[in-house]
Amino acid sequence: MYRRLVARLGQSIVVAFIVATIAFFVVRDAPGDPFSYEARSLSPGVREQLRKQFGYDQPVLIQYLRYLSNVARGNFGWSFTKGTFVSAALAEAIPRTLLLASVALALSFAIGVALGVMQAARGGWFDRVSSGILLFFYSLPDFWGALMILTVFTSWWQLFPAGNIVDPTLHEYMPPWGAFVDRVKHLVLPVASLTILSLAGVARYQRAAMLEVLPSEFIRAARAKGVSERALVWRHALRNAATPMVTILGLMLPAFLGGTVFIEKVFSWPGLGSLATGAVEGRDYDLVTATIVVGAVIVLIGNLLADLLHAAIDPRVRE
Amino acid sequence: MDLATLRKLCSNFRNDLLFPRFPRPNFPMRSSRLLIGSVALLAACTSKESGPAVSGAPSGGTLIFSLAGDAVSLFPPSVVDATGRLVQDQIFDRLAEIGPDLVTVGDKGFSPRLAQKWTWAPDSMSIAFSIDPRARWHDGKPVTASDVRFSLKIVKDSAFASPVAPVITNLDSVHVRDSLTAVVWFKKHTPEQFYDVAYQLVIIPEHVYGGIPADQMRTAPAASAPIGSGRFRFVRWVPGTRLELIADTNNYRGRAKLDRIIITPTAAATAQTQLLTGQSDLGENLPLDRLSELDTSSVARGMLLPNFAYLFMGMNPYDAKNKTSPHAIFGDVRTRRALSMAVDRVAMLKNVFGDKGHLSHGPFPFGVGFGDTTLHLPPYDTTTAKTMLDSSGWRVGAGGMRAKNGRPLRFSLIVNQSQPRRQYAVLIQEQLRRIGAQVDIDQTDQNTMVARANKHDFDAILYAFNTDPSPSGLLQNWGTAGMGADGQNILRYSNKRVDALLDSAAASFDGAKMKSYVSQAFQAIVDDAPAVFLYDLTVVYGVNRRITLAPMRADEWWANLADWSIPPDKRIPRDRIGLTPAKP
Amino acid sequence: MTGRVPRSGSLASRLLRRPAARWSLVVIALLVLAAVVGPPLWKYSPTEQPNIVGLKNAPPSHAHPFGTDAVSRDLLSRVLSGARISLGISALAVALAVTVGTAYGLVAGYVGGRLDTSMMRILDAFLSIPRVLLLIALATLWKPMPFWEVAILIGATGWLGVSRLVRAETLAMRHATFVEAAQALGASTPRTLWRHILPNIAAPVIVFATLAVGNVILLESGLSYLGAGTSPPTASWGAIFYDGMDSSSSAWWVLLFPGMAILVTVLAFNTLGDALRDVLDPRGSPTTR
Repeated sequence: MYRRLVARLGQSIVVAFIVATIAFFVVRDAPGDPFSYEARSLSPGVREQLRKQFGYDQPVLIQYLRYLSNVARGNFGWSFTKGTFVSAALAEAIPRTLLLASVALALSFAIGVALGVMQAARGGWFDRVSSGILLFFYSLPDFWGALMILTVFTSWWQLFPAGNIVDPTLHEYMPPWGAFVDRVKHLVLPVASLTILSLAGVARYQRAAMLEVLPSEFIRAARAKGVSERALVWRHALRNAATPMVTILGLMLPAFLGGTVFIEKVFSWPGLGSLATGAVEGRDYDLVTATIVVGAVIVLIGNLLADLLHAAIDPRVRE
Repeated sequence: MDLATLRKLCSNFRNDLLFPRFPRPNFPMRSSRLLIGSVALLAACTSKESGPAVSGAPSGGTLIFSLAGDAVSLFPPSVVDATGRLVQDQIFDRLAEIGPDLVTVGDKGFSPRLAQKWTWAPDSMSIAFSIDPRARWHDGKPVTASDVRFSLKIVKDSAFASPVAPVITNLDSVHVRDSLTAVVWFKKHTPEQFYDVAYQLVIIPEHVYGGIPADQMRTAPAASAPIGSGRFRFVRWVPGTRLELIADTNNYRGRAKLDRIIITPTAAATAQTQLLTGQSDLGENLPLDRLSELDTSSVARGMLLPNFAYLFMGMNPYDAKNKTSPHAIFGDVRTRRALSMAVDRVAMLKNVFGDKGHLSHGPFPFGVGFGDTTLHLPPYDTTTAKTMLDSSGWRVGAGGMRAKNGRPLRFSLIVNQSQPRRQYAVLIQEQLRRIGAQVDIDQTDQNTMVARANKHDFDAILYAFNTDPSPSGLLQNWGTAGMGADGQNILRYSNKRVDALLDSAAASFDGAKMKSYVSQAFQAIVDDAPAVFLYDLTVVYGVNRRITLAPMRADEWWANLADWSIPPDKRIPRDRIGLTPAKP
Repeated sequence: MTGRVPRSGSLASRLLRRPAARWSLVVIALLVLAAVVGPPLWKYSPTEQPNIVGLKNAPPSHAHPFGTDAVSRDLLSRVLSGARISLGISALAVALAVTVGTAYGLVAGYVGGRLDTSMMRILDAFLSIPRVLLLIALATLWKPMPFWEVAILIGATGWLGVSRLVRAETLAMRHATFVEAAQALGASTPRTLWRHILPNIAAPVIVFATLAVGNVILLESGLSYLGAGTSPPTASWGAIFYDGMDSSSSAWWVLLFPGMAILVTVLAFNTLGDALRDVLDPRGSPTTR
């Protein structure tokens, strides 16, 4: 298993570099001069330093090589919309997106898997009705759904704060417990929106996976042996359906991060998605490149973890 | 226990004692202990309380402002944007402050600030300002005359390239007679020479900024953490998120009545929600169609404030890429006039602002003293517009669009995220389509728009100019002198006659003559049709009802922020935080 | 012999037996009709501003069944014309994605070996990038974009999923008896691919394509919501939604109708896709977005 892990790690690093290359050329190729608007926030000393490091006036190939070596060392350049180094802006934003995404991912998987299993096991009207509702949420535009949740719970019933990660102004003046509650209050609606909109997909896949497994022979054998229906469904069948689910987890990650972009916009959540939209609006090319690379790296890491999980669950993989 | 903690304890204690938050259950027992303790503590508190006594209600309060844009720069010599000016005016002082009726001629109506008094030389070629001996910078050092000399030197330094430079050309130099007397020398005796010094020159400390080379000053760390002499001091700035000001308790003019102001850049719709739910205290640039919500709210109320700015669609007479050759479409004044006549400014105003808009009558905002509503602007006349375009060579082709020598009548219009402007862009696009011109709307963020405007990298742009109370400010926007590196003349409009007229206006002591010169200058500008003048920026503000406002000046509503207060019986939890700034 | 497994009844009849599939087909047919017929259906042009003073944000009425927006454009005409644009973008994007992706996947799956591995490595790289991030970066940097450029961009980022699917199926097919038989009989590689393998992997690809149409509509409207989609006055449903955001608090209709248009269309395509999967490819693995 170690060898497999190392192999996957190596592959991921290769893939990450390919992504960095794609990002670099895609962004450089866009019309407009990438560095014409950087004047304001840069002191001449820093600008010179960056020029040396990234070689702005060198031919593209040299720039590309310099860029790769810089990225490998974690130096993504300067963000003139934020007025700091890109890595600093990323370091602030990434944990926030990870917080939002991981809580929502865990919740949507927990609920989605449970729903899918129940649908497959029970069938009948429960299956039909819940499938209909899930299909509705699956087809709803993310941003509209999030907007409606925002309007209902912040304007009509003023239960939650209207966006942001903490109270932007007073959070630091709160006592520790108040600050924690403040964070939680701001987390509820974005997580709820992201969860509701994602669990439909998860439930659908889980249902299909369960439907494949339930009629199979070993289940029938177990049933014949007298194992309770409940244990059959929740232990035996689920175990077997878990493998494709873990694969799905890995495949869903990029789309999940994409969905986070809309949620972050609606709820003014200052994470990676907001950073990306702000960067493209402000033509902040270094930051745009970096968000693409970082987004991909997060997905790769997620896939790696999903792989580990896969190996842990499925003994066939482990040899 | 250090002084800061003691002070906080005192103010919290006093607040709690005088205005308890909730009834105490075992009142009798506690109150006696409270009483004894309070007597002792109050004694300690009052002896430690420093600074001039505050009359009236105890000061306090934290206000949160949701403003439309973040500050670009906080360093006075380079401040151009509205939020930057707001912050600068709280942290820094001028020698004297203009009066509420904004008279720019002579020195009547100006009230002392850093200068306690001033003496004119008999020939009016110099004025000696006596610096208030109590004035201190926020780091404790006294304000001296050499600070005044330094402030002027920086603004005039071409290596720094301050946008203020074009309007202080009459200021020659400052001579330091002694540490508290600064003599300002002028090049000419003009009606507004006092205004030029008092309104345009913000005083910055030499001991903080003197050691930095001029070309590095903008980006120096000290420029982003300004030290001034005003009634508020700077605490911290997280760009894009939060800017915090706190009252300067030792201020020579008395501490601000508020404790703290926090400024956060917010989108308009969010600002409204935050205001109505009490999360913020002031919202700027709120959506007009939600004004009625404000009127009926018990938490906040709406105010329509003039903003001394006017919005226009500027047409770049030079090619956007190659800055020297004339623009293929806008290089010709006939085309510009024709396009100006193709848009119905009145109908668009009605659509976007309902009854609350102010139509623009030329390159000046409503409410300014030298405006002239009788100018002849190009009328709304699509028939004549089409004829003019035909005769200029722009013939209608297949598909209804015009072209000339193979080049289609098609250009891009840059607009920022502001909702009225975006709506205007869509309206203009449709109206110009009807006469055969194709407009591509290029929506960007504020900073990019400003950057492109300054670099003249645009075809057409929906832009706004701010105006000073004096016509001399017009030189920045429409004068040849304003075409420099950081000049605000983004259209590169240059008309020698206009320059001469504006100079004559600045030099005339006769009010009527001055207005006449200015009107002629305006008419000349309008005839050249460099822009379509659309509307005056009347901005909807919402203010929390618990705040007692101070009188608001027409050019800057924030002029008297330090006198805004919150009556003790209306305070909410965040007003009681006290003066200690949060830990970084 | 093409190796198709015989099934009971024709495809169409099996499909139409399902009520869900029936209504989704009706809805889709109506939408396509609206899109194809186009201008004669619209009382006003989608960009026309009949009366910017009097008809601003007019509620639904007899003259304007969907109401008007902030610049007095008739919403019904806009939504109807939006069908043309949104469906057009989807069709174009999906066609592009399916074509390129199938080709890529066929080659990778059939040839196998080193070529396959390296092709898949590149694919993995593209697939790791969250599609939305890449799209907003590209769409904004190249702004303003005509609507067909938006379609190509979306298609260019979407072919990856198809190719992964096609490759997996091709790999499975490669060693099927009928394929080896055809090769033994001397069929060339292109012929094998075209006549033998392709028809058998068509089913999951068709299902994928149907679901993808809905997905592209959602993606395009999402891009427009972020301000990165088609530029005014091109009115895809997402753009109409975006335009309505400012007036939405007082004029509920400016968001409701484009939103419903998107919802109903995507629902129809998703339902059809589900039904097709049940009919064509019952054992197939659920396809990902």
